[in-house]
Amino acid sequence: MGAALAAFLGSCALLQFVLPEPHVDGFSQKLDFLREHGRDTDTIFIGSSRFYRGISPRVFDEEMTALGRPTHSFNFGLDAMMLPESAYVLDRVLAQKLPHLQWVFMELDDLHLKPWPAHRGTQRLLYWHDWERTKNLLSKSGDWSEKEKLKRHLARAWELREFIKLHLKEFLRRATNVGAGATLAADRLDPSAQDQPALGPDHDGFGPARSSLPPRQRASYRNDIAQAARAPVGHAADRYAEKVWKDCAARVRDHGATLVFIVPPAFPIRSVRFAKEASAPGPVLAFADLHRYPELYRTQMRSDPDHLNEQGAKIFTRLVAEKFAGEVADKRIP
Amino acid sequence: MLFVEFRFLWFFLAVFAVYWTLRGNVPRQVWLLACSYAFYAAWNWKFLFLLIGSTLLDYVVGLMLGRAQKPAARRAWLLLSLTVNIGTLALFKYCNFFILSAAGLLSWLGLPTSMSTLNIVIPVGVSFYTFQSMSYTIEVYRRTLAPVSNLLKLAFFVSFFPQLVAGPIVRATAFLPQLRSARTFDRVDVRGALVLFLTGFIKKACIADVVAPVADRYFAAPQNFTAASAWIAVLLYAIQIYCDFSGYTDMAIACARLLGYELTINFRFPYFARNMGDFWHRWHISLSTWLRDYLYIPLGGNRGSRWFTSRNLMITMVLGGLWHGGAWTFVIWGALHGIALVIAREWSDRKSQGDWLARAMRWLAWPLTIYIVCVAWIFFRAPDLHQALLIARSFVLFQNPGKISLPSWIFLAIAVLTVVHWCNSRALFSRWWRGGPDMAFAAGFGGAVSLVLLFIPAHYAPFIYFQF
Repeated sequence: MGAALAAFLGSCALLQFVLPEPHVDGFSQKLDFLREHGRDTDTIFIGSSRFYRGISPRVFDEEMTALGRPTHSFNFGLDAMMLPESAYVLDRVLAQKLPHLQWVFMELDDLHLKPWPAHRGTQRLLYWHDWERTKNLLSKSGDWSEKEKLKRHLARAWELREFIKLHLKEFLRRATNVGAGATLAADRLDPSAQDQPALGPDHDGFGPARSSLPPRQRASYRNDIAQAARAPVGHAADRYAEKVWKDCAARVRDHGATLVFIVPPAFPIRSVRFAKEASAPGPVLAFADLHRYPELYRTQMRSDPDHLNEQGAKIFTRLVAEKFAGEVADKRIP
Repeated sequence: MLFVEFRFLWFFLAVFAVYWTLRGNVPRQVWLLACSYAFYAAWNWKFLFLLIGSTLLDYVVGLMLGRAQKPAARRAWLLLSLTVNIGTLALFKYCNFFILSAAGLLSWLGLPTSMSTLNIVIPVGVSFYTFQSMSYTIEVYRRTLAPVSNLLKLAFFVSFFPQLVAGPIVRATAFLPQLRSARTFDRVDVRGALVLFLTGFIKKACIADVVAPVADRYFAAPQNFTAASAWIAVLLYAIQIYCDFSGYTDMAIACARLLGYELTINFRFPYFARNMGDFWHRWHISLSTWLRDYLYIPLGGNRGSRWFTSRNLMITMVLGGLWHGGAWTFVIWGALHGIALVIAREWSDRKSQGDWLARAMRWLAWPLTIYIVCVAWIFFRAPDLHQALLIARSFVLFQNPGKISLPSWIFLAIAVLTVVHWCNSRALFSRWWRGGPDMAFAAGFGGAVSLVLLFIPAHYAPFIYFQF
């Protein structure tokens, strides 16, 4: 039994080492691009579709050049990329050892136990389920770091058993390479499925949303915005997310770069912040503010309530560049 | 709960560990009975009552058959068992078929029809355990088996979970004697059982479920594909159904063997059969022998004229087709096999030694048998008669209904699978794992499992024979 188990685990580890990585839509194209063309890249944006559709590296570089701090940036945003997937992507980007990497911008977010529904059963959910990410999610699911009775931990874990089961299953599937050969064969048999336009028209990772908010949604959007302006909301990232962000910041520092957090202008407004600003793992550039950045919430700037369109992305990117350049000039960002 | 799912692995490990920890025959059988009922209830707990009801009926009938001396009374008890068991099958499997067929006939005759079908869910495995249960009462009626006085033993025989939902259809005469003495782990061929389970797993998860989407794609819209695609899809379906069903059987036999019980062999490399009679000695053996012993022989078998034997063959095969489900496609599938069996029988009676045709047939026997089996599979798989005829035209007459082509390299993959299967039929692989020390086998098995996991598709398809 022991010999069989040892051989099984050893063989799984060997196969994982030997086999090429299966194709993951968006992620694989962007990582391949960085591997081949990332020598000059010094700035990387990692986040969800609010980054992918909202930040244009071309505009950012132009603005930074105009501000006297030329950059060469790349957008590694992916639709529905949430923490801890973004932390995994950061590790993979850092593993490329980009020689000029100086700044990494990440979308400040909570740690999400519930995966994006469309990712279930796909490579997109599987590929980032290494032990570190799974461990982060499992620790949050039982809230084990809090000192309270075991019964309460177990009750919470029982409530969240569906997610615990799901993440453990994905971890085991990844660790034992379940279906990896079949997926690789399918990738080889149908390479056309990999031709997703993830790199965008400028080949900088930015995927602009060319549409505007549909007219029938505008009235209700304006109404919702008016209500949100009267009752601004914000919350501190939970301690599990904060721990992950601290680890991310330390890793970026180890590579001689700086991690900068961005809170994008999403709607409904999710104004995430760190519980204690003094102990925050990195500087935060917050744009989820209706009063300070009303132009980002105008109907003409949005492709849907949650996302900026191409025009909005230009304005948002310029604002990011200006604010960032200001912080660098003030030496609040090294 | 499918054998290829992880939750079955945990289930079986728990069953196995507790089973061999228990001492004595009765506690072990009680444990396995409880596990079998839990296994069945995992699909639909309501149908558990049907299973228990069927068991209780046949238990009582068995006891009454043992007591009754008058032939008329014995016949009445047997009739009761057969009526209830076949009635259950008729209600769940054939009710809608009969309603639709009657409506179709009335409509064809130009008479008004206002029939509606019933919303019936077919209990999983009902055809298998009903036939198994009937084998008990028939054998008791024939006095070839003593009635079982212990209800636990009969319930265990009917519901033993490895073979409960898709066979093999175990005969009471083969299984009940195994319940008399306690099983000992020392006599379990662990190595053989593990390899058999892995083989079944490979057949189901790595072959059947991998080829299924390609075959499904064709059968969903055959009018869009070329004739070469028809050949590819039908051959793939032949591979799929064999690997799916024999894979399940291999895993069922292996699980039973790990618990110390032997189940009937169900497949003996059927695609290497050299005539249709030979095919039925190799394909779904537990069903074909059941039909032979309880239908074909009671009908008179081959103890009569040529026409009489042919009639019995046709009745047996058509009913065998209908056993798979209430649809005309299954009836035609059975009828095609019946016709092929009758022709094969005529051929073997008439051929003369040294005849050039007989010599040619020695070479043509295998491809011709496969061809006939494949043509019949078209009717088995097609959703309706119209589609079946469309595919058959494309397959048999090479008529190109559409323009889409399935990749032709699949022919090469089929050839490779055939060679591997042939090597397996010659027991070339078993020499490797039978020899060698336990440690080497364990390490090899662990490595093999990790390799097999590589080729599992993302989603499992349910076993084809679960629907029967």
